[in-house]
Parts: sequence; structure tokens; C-alpha cells
Amino acid sequence: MLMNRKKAISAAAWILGVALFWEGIAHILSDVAKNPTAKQALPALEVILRSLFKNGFFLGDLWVTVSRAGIGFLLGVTLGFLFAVLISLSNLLEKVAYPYLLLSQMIPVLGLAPIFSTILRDNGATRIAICAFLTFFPVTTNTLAGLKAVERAQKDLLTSYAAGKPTVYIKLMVPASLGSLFSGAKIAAPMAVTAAVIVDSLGGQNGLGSRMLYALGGGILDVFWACVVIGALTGILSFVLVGMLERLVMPYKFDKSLLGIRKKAVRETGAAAEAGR
Amino acid sequence: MKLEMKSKKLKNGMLTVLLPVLFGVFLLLLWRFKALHALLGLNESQLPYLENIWVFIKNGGDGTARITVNVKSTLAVVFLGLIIGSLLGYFVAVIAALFPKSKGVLTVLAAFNAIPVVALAPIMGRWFPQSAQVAKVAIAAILCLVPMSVNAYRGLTELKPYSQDLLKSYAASKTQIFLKLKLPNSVPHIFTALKLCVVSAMIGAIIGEYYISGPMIGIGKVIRNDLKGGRLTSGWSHVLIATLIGALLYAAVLLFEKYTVRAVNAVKTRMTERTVGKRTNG
Repeated sequence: MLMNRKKAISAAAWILGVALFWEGIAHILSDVAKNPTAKQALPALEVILRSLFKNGFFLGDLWVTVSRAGIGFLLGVTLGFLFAVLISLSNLLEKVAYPYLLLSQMIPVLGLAPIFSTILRDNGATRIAICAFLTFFPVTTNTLAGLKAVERAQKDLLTSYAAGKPTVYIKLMVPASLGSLFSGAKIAAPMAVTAAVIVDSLGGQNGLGSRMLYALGGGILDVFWACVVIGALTGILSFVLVGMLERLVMPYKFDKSLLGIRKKAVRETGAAAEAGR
Repeated sequence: MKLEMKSKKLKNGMLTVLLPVLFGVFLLLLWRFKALHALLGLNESQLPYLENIWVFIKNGGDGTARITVNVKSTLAVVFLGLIIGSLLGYFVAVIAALFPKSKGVLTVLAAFNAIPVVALAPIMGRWFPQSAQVAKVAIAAILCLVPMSVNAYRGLTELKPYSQDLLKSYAASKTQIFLKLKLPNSVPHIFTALKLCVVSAMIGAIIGEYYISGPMIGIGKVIRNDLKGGRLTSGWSHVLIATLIGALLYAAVLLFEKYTVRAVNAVKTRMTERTVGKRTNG
């Protein structure tokens, strides 16, 4: 508890420090150095904040972007998880698919998005597809690592109880890999938000990205900067949200006392496995 | 017994290469004989024919877009951004590791990393109005900064338990501890970061080319104009080339990692042998 308060204070100090630094640089640029483009390059923080409140935090555009990113993210997590389970079942599939999974990460999103949009012919669907595509890889690789890290003795124990593959997966493998699944999801969530913003900007009528670029084109710099800040905050928030969900789904990973119970249970099953041999 | 295992390993390795290649060839054949078009219900204006892409790449582009020129321009941005961003990132990590009070810098950097790349491009365009090339390098460098600093910091601080105490008990100075313990310990983490950085630098370069107004050069610019202007063959060719470059750079880092980590390990064992030898002699 004490540690937490200390952490919170230091975080607040850093946020304040950065804000002051920003404000200082902005004022030095525009007032002291008399740089004519300063208001465009780095407007003062208060200008951005005022614009944020004036425009109601861009809730309408934000919703368009975030809802698409969210659907794509969920789709990507589901598919990525299922694919990881499939790969863990088949050595052959792993060998064939893994290099292509890696290769798929090298395809530039900006090239992919127009290709998806010519094939899907719908901007909303393209956004969802791209977000799902980007979410897929981190979730698959992380979940797969989690599935592979399950101890052999635990699997053997279940098999010795005549448990079939589905039972082993439902009772052991899937719960054991949840932590890795969340690690992957935490990497993927901000990526999905960024990707949705990119696809917005490629010619959508609404959404944070298109609002951002329209503001830029029209020279309304405070709106542009406000969109940037909202976009960044949304990315961070998505990471935090997935983290909170993780706490909700697997409290034993965070609560040391619960962990003790779990560890004991694991020890006991391990001992039972030893005794069984 | 050993030989048997070796041949089994070799067989396994061959399968690892062969199976994906076969799958790729199968996909390409589907594409080449238009089965992919029939399967997905697409026509040439949505998915260009493979032979057209092949001819385009073989000819090195066409009158409007020359592949080598664009690749050179993009690669220059990627390499410069990668080098500058990684060095800066490592520098930040060293500072944060030496002065624990400044650790918050990493959190601040990570927060800035959440700025959508699309927004980063126009901002950098305004910060470096003199040259579009510099602005592109800046984007690539910023995207490399965070993965490198976070990973390098981990490498510099997550040491083996008691190793630092041991060195202190030998009256090692701070510099010695840094050079002999922390620096070597961070090497594997640098490579983890570099693998991420290569991909990020590529993304940064292409996004920079896409959004920053400047000369008509670079893979990102060509992709933008071609896919918007309906020159699909050229656009797809450049997307494929960009993918290939990304994969090659990634493979290069993997190779580099293999040899460097091996060299570092060799030095480590030599050092241990020397100390152990000294101890038995003494």
C-alpha cells in the first residue's frame, strides 16, 4: 500500500514535470525565440486542452474508431487463440504456418489497408479486418509459448486419469496459457487502436484519423493536436483496460495469498503424480 | 547413437524449411493460375495477376516508378533511423540504469510511444521543414527508441542474483561493474530490441514517405500513388518488395545475433576458465 502511494506520487510528479516542460518549450519557442511556426510545431498545452473540452473530446469520432478497433481486436484475439491451440496440436501445422505468421508482420499496414479495402469494399470492414490482422500475431505467438510451457508431469497426470485431449486442454492447457494470452493482448491492444486510426486516415468519412488529417489540411492546428492527444490516451487506456481484465479473470496472478493456494494445489498434484509413478 | 541423432536433427531441419516452401509454392500456383481469383471472387482490378507483378519486378519497374531508386531511398531512411533511434534508446537505458531516480523517463517515453504514427508524420514534417528525408528518419528513429530503451534497461538491470554484490566485494568500481557485468548482460536484450526495431523502422520509413509531402520517391510514396491511382500491379509489387526487405532485415539481425551471442559466450567461458585456473594454481 505504502509502495503504491509512493509510486502514484512519483508518476504524478513525472506527468507534472513533462507538462511543465512542454508548456515551457512552447512558450519559449513562440514568445522568446519568436519562431513564426511555433504554434504549429508545438502549441501550448492549454490550447490543446481548451480545444479538447470545446469539441467534447471528439466522442463521436472516437466511438467510430474505438468500436471498430475493439471488434477487430476481439476477433483477432479469438482467432489468434484458436490458431495457437491448433498449432500446439499439430507439429506439421506449426512448421508450415510459423514462417508465414512472421512474414505477415513485415507487410506494411499502409499497403495492406488499400488492398483489404478493394477486396472488402467497405471502410468499416477494412478497419475491423486490419485490426484483427495486427492483433492476431502477438496473441498467437504468446499463447503458443504459454501452451508449450505447460509442465509435462501435469499433462501426464491428467492422461493417467484417462482424460482425453479436450479435457486436458480445457482443464489444464487453456487455464495455464491465459497469462501469456493476456501478455499478447496487452501488446496488441494499442496496436489495434493505432491501426484503426491509420485506416481512418486513408479516406474514411469519420473517425479520429480522418478528423485529424482534415484538421491538419484545414490548418486547424489545435483540433489536430487535440486529436493526437486523444489518440495517444486511447492507446494507453486500451493497454490499461486489458490489464484490468487480466486482473479480473486471473486474480491469482496478482494476489500473493491466492497464488499460495494455487501453488499448493500444483504441488499436491505434482506429489500425486510422483506417488502415482 | 550420436550420428543417428544428428541425422534426425538434419531431417527435422530440412522439413522445417521444406514444408513452408512447399506451402508457399502451392499458394503462388493458385495465384498464377487464377484459382485464387475464382476462390475469392476477385477480378484483376482487385488482385493483379502474378505474372504481371513478376514482369514488373523483373523489369525493375516501369516509366513512372523505378524499383531500385525507391528501395535505395527507403533503405537509407530505415538504416539511419535504426542506428540513431537504437543508439539514443540505449543511451536512455544506460542513464536510467545508472541513475535509478530517472527511471520515470522510460514510462514517459512509453507514453509518447502511444501517439499514433499517423500523427507523428505531420508533426515531424513540421519540426523538420527543411528536408522531408530528415523528417522521415526522425519518425523511424522515434519508433526504434522505445523498444530499444525498454529492453536494454531490462538487460542492464536484471542481473543474476548476487553477481553485483560479488563484484562489489572484489572492490570493483562502478565503471568496472558496468563494463564487465551490465554491458555483456544487456547484449541478448539488445537483439530482442533490434528485432522489434527493424520492423518499426520499416513501418516508420513507409509511413513517413506516405504522409510527408516531398519528392516522389520511396516505397511508401509509390504505394500511396499507385494504390490510389489504380496502378495495382506497381502497388502490389512495392508492397511485396517492402515485405521482403522487412523479412531480410529481420533475418540479418537473427544471423548477427547468432554470431555475436556466440562470441560473447566464448569470451565469458574464457574468462571463467582463467579465473578457475588461477584459483587452482594459487
